[in-house]
Amino acid sequence: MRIKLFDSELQVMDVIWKEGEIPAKRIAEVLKEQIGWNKNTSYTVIKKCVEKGAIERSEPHFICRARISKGEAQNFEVDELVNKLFDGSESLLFASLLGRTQIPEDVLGRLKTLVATEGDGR
Amino acid sequence: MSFLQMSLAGAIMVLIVTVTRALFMHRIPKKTFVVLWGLVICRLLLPFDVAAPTSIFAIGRHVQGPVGPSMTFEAVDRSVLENMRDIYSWHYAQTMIEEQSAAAELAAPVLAGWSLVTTVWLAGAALLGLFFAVLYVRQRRKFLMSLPLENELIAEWLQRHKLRRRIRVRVSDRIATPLTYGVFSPVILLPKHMNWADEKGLSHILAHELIHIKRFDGLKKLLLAAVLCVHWFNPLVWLMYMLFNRDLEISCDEGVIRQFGEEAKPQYAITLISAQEQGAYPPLHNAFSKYAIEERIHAIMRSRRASFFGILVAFVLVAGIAMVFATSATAEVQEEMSARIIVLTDVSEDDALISAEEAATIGRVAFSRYFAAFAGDWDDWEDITFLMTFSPWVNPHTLREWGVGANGAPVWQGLVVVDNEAGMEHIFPFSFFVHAETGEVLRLQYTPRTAYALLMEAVRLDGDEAIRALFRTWSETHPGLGLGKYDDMFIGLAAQAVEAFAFLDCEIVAIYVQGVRAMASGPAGTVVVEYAGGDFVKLEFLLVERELVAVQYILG
Repeated sequence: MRIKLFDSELQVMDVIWKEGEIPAKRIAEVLKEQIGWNKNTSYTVIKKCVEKGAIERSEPHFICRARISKGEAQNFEVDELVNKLFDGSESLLFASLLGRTQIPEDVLGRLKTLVATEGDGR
Repeated sequence: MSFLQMSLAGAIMVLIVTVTRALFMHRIPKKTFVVLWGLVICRLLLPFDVAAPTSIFAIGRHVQGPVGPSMTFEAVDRSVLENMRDIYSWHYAQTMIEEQSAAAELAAPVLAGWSLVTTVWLAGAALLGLFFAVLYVRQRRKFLMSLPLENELIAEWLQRHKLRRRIRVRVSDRIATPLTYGVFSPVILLPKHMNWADEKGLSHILAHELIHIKRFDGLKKLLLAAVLCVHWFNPLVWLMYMLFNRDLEISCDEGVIRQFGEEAKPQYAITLISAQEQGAYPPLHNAFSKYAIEERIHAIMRSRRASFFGILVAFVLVAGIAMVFATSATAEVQEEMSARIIVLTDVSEDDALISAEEAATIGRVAFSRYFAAFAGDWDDWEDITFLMTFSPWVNPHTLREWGVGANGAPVWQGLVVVDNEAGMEHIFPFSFFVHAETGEVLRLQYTPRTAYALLMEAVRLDGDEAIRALFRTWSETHPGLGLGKYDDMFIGLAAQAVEAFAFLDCEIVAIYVQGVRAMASGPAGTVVVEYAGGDFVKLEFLLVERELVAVQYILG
């Protein structure tokens, strides 16, 4: 089984692969130390991994165990998720470098030509 | 100033700024546009309420209370009266109108008409607000899952660019373009899949984001979204939303160019274009922002360093548009007044659903019941006649005391006239009000006879002569007051009060006496001013120590 995971999810998996069985609380502590996540963020990501079937959890203490090996994990590709209502609209509320829209090739080509000619003209 | 007028005035400013932007984009500093949009936002959010002193209607509540012979003006707080003196200024007129509309909202039919519009507006605002809130929370949660970045170049850059707020740079595989989030502890987030080898490009991007942080652009974007939620029904506010967002970027680009120098322009432009190429977003149909990048590249490449002339133009523009913004408040008030007057003249006797005869019958039944309650049976009901007067309005006192008869809720006012045993007609000191649309008896009241003598006199006569006659009568029944003084004084004051309306720029046709309110110990008058075009304004006067302290409300 191959499961596509985001970097954030791989971070969680890394901790589990290293430690074997580990309580969620402990994972949150490790990640807080390593990458500065707050507890809620870690739990959110762990939950996502459980949903995707990468982690198996057992009570008590929310013990987490990996269901896939390191080799079975795959990087997620961004373009698969952006075509939803909310994703890819960062520029609405946050200062992002570019807007969400894909620009046709010919327009970009035209812009490059413009930059080249204007740049030379100075 | 009403909310719709704010939105309309804002819309006009959006058009002005949009045209300005098209004309001067390449000639004046880009920051100018950000400032101009700021002015538009002020217009859209600030109601321009002049904090007027306690209104005349507050005094009215003190003074009028239950109308009775023991009322005196001594009860009125002097300091309040002091504030009231400047009745001729438009601020004051505006306060009156707001009181008036507040009163109008009390009346149920008016409220029902408004509540639908208000409900739709609130629902739209809530819906859009919810969309933004969900978007914000989701994206923030996504950003929080970002990872720290091990990069010497960036570590060194952070060392060199320290602000009071600690900046962090992190990386995420869930975004396609660099962005900044967090106002108080800002984070520059870089997409994992970017060209990390391009050091020059990286330094441009970091410089760009740093400028956003320094200028609190994140906060501006949130404010802008809030404005859009409130004015969602205004298409020009959507236009502003799009253009302001673009101008934040364009202005930010300008800052980068200033920092790196003119010769960095092509390189910076190429950085943007290739970032756009790398962006893995599938095409989304968004006609508005489709060529935002084009506008940006043009702005970067075509703009020259602002000349002295360009900066001068920028200042003139900001000052000019700020002035439009400030003065529109005055103009709007005038519009509001004339508009109200026109609306309110719609009511005429023909509109009454209940005829005078029907109203008289209703009044007769109510009156007999009431009378029977304290005087037993009355044998000669046939001897009673009812004088019915149609009032498309009742005075604010009636509205406040009984909660009825606001503008647009016409009443029949009935006066009970009894033929007594001696065969002498006299006015019985009872009157009543019947709602001219529902037939409901609004009020039966007992009123001192002299007041009705004045009222009847006033109904019979028009114009200046009526005022004189009125006060002649008044002085006969109140010997202490003296005829001559109040006569001339009242007319003079009426003229002054009419002047207060001069800014309406209407030609005054005539002044009619509508009636004198039965104020037991203080003269209070009502004058109706007719303007060319058939509009009416009713002015109410209140005299305290022979000075006109307050005035007027509008109706038609």
